[in-house]
Formats: sequence, structure tokens, C-alpha cells
Amino acid sequence: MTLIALSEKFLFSAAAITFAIGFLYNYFQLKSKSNYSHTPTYLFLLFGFILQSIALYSRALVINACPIGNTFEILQFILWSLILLFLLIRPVINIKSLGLFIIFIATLLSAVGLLIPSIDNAYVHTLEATNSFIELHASLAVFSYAIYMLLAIVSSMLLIQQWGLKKQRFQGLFRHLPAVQKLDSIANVLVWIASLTLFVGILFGSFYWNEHPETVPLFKLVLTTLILILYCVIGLLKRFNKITSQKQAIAYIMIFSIAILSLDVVQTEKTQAPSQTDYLESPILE
Amino acid sequence: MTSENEPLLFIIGSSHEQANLEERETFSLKEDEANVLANDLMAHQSIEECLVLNTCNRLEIYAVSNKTHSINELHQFICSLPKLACTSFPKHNFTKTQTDAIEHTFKLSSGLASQMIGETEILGQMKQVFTKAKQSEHTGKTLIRLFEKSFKAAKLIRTQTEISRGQVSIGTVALNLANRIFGKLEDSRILLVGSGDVSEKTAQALKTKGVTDMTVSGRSKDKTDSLAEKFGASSIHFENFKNQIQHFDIVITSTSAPDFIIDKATLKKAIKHRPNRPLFLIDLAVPRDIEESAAKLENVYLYNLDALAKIANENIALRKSEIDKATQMIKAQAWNFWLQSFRRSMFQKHQ
Repeated sequence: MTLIALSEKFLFSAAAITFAIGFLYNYFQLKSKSNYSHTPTYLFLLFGFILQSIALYSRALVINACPIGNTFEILQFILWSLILLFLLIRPVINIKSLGLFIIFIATLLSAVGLLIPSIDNAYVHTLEATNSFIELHASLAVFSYAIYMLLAIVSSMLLIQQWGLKKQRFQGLFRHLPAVQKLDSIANVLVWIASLTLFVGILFGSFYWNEHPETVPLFKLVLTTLILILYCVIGLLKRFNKITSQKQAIAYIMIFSIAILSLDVVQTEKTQAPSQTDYLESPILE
Repeated sequence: MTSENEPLLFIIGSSHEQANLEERETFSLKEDEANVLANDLMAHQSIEECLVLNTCNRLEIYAVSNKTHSINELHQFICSLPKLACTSFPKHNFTKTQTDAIEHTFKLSSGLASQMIGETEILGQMKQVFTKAKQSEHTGKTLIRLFEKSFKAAKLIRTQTEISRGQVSIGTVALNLANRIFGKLEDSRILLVGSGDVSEKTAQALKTKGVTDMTVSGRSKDKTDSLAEKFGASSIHFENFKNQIQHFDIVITSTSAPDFIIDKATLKKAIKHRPNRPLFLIDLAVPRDIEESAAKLENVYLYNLDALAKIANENIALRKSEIDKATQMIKAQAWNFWLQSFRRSMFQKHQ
């Protein structure tokens, strides 16, 4: 049995198990109070990322498009983008404990994807998969969500660090967290990178929608634009010292939670078929 | 194994182990108050020798009694003294006699009973108090031997164990905390309020950590200017420092003021001017200089002596074997000292 012959579900499961083992490794290392290396975390993430890449590629072959058609695929794609982003920027931002948080999120999202099969429902492609504008729009939008997710993670780290400092907690996770000011600075940059990416994504989408006005996903567009505006407003308030880093972090986590929770609502609107599609039993994978 | 001739050595005291910072504040005595207390003790007919060890973390009375009063009666007498009766001392104290008292003194001089285990400052404080008590003729042969032996025991413990290895100073703790807040202590602006010994030691520690932007403020202009000059820092008038707090990232206070010198309202005002920069406050004073409720303010991180000691002792697990080794050595030393004292008293009895 070759790797390509394995179903993508199995690959997604294998990636989830890899992330879960990586998370458990971190959990027990933190509990043991000893100094531990972050390298195994990166290796677990890298291995899980490779498995996830193959799984997404397999699904893309089956559906003949970028696999972002239902909530499960979007979550997997956002997660894949998040890990890719982390692996790329890790040497630049130099926050070792970020891997620990990423692997936790990876485990959580993978578990959600596998434990709630209904989010991997069948759908019908209504748009041309070959249209470069709409594909670019979708990729950029998903990638911007990955950056927003990273922003939510950094914000969570900031709140945990602030709480630890206030409550005078110094053991376990707390001793691995970076400085409050560093997390604040990273959050201030990430919000604008993510918002710019999403804005460009919407811009590319508008080129397609201009030619095909009947395909405009109005609810999705309004919601996404609202989320973009909210992020920008919070970013500006912080830029002009109108809110503190704590309030900013809470706001970013809340906006991202709304964005993620609304994914299913948005996707349900466009889903047509009631049961699992036969693309999961693709002849290519046999 | 006791002797009638053997005087009763006892310690009645209170430290961070019995009382928290708030409780300790109530019996934090000034130097002249400690002298009054020592004189009151010497006035008691049963007390032949006495020494009052008064530091920011402890108030301990070392005394030798001629046994005309029981230890309970002496305890009652001490707790009812005017300087202590209306404080938390009567509620939160310990009593140690004979070998337990010897062991405690040896532990204390070695830094094993300190809030920051392994610290050496207590030895200096004990030596200072001992010299003064000797000058005042409050000490006799028992306390002199006890303290001299305890200094020797401290030296032995520090040379034969690694109890002080990994010991962290206030400066190191401040650096670690500043790293968790600002990233780099070197880039932070620091204000030292107070120009006494603690401020000087803190300034020294910060200087060795690479801090360049330091400002000093104290009630005594001469001492403040001299401290500022010594560490290449600038100085500001004590009356003005409250209006300048917003310009600093870290404020370290160590004054001997009986009340708060920085209240919540002042900090609330200061933090409004810097919503993007946290304010890190280190209160090294007993009684405390900064109103405790200020810790609830957003972006304000307030640490007092108890909190810093907690952090400093975080690496205690790494030194546990050394602490056990030192404790065993102290037990042996204390037992040896007591045997020697017992032999002496027996010898005096048969003479």
C-alpha cells in the first residue's frame, strides 16, 4: 500500500495524531519542570504539516480545486497556512514557546475536524475553479485568517503572561512565555499584515464578482468586511494609544472567535448536497 | 541532660515564616525603638543578657535568663512590652530554647533561615547588631559565644557547601521580571526612591546588569546626590518624583517612611500617560512604600519583598541537596556547641 493510496481522511487523522503526540510531549515536559528543548515540537509540527499537505493535495486532486469548500477544509487549510507561516517566520520573531501554542491549536482544530464529521459535508462547486482571480481571492482570504489566528494566539500568550505577572506565577508555561512588550509589538504588526492580506484578497475577489455579479456571496462578503473593519478599528485605537494591550488582545481573540464560529454559518448557506460526496472515494486514491 | 547552673538561652521572635509582610509591618522597629526594647528587656530581673535583631524580615529577641522565671512568663512579659503589645508580634511568634535556639542562630547566620535562602546579608546584620549589643554591655559570655560560634558556622557552611550557589539577588530577580515585561532591562528607565543601603545595593546590582538609565530620588538631598554620582545616575527632588513616575518603566522604592509614599491615585494618573508601556514597581520597604491596591491597576505590576523572595527561591529545588547537607552540618555544630557549654557549666558547678 503506497502513501498515495491512503485515503486523505487517514492522512488528516495521522496529522492530527502527530499534533496530539507533540502536544502531549509539551504538556508532560512542562509538568516535569525540567528544561526542555523546543526542537521536538518543531519536528512534530513539521511532520504533521507534511502529512496534512499530502492530505490537502489528495483532496485537491479529487475536487479539482483548492480544498476550501466546506468548514472542515477551510479549518484544515487555515491550520496548514498557520503552521507554514509559523515555520517561515519562527527565526524572525524568535518566540520559542509559540510552537507550543501552535501545536495545541493544531491538535484542537484537527480534533474538531475529525470528531464532528458534519462539518465535512458535501458541496457543489458553483464557481469556475480555473478562474485565477477567485482562486487567488480564496487563498489570500484563508491565508489572512491564518495570520489572524496567529494574532489570536499571540494575544492569548500576552494575556497569559500578564495574568502570570499579576498573580506572580513563574513555573511551568509561564517561564517560557516572552515579554509582554514583545508580544504587544508582534500583535501590532500582525494585525496590519493580516488586514492587508484580507483586503487584497477581497480586492481580487471583486475583480471576479464585477464580471459575474450573480456569484457575489453577499452575507459572506458583508461578514468578512465587517471583521476586517473591526480589526482595523482596534488596530487604529491601539496605534493612537486609546486602548491598552490587554483590551486589544481580548478584542482580537473575540473577533477571531466570531470569525471562526461564523465560518460554519457561511458555509452552510452554499452547501447543497445533504450527505458525504463520493469525492472521498475517489478512483485516483485507489 | 540539663544543669542547674546552665542559664536558659532562649529566642522569642517573629519572621516571614510566622507573619506575612502586612503583619511584619506592625512590629517593624526603628533603630532607637529597638534600643528602647533592649533596655526594657535588660530591666527585667530574670534577663541577664539580651540582643534584639531587627531587620526588615524579622524581629528576634535573643536572651539569657537566670531561670527565676519560666519561659512562659518571659514570653508573656515580652509580648506585653509597650513596643510590641499592640502589634501582630504577640499573635505570630516562635519560641526556641537551648539547642533549638543554638541551631536557629547557626541556621540564621548561614542564610538557611532567610527568606531568600543562602543570602549573605543577614550575616552582616547579625554582626552589626552583635557589635552594638556588646558595646551596650547587653551581652555576656553565653550570647558572645553563641554569636561568635554562629559566625564561624556560617563561614564553614558557605565554604563546605554550595548553599549560596544559584542564589539570586534583588537585582537578578528584578532583571528576570523586567525581561518578562519589557524584554530588556538595559533599555528601561529606572527610578530608585530612597537613598539608603538598600537603594545603594539595588543600584549596584542594576549597574552590573547593564542598566544605564537610572534616576535617584530621596528625602536627603546630599545622600541622593552622592548615590546618583556614584552610579552615574541623575537625581530628582523627592517632592517632585510623583509627578515624574510616568517617565519611568521601573520604580524601586526602599524608604523608611512609616506610610505609603506612592498611592493608587498617583499611579492611576501616571499610567494614563503611558497606555502602551507597563509600569513595573518593586517595593523593597518595610513598612511598604506603595499602596497594595495599586497592583489591581491595568498595566501595573507591583512586587514587594515577599513576592521577590518567592521568585528568588524558585531554584531552591536545585539546591535542595546542598540545603540538606548544610542543615546536617548545623545540627552537628549546634550539638557540639551545646555539649561544650554543658561541660563548662558542669565544671563550674564542681569547682
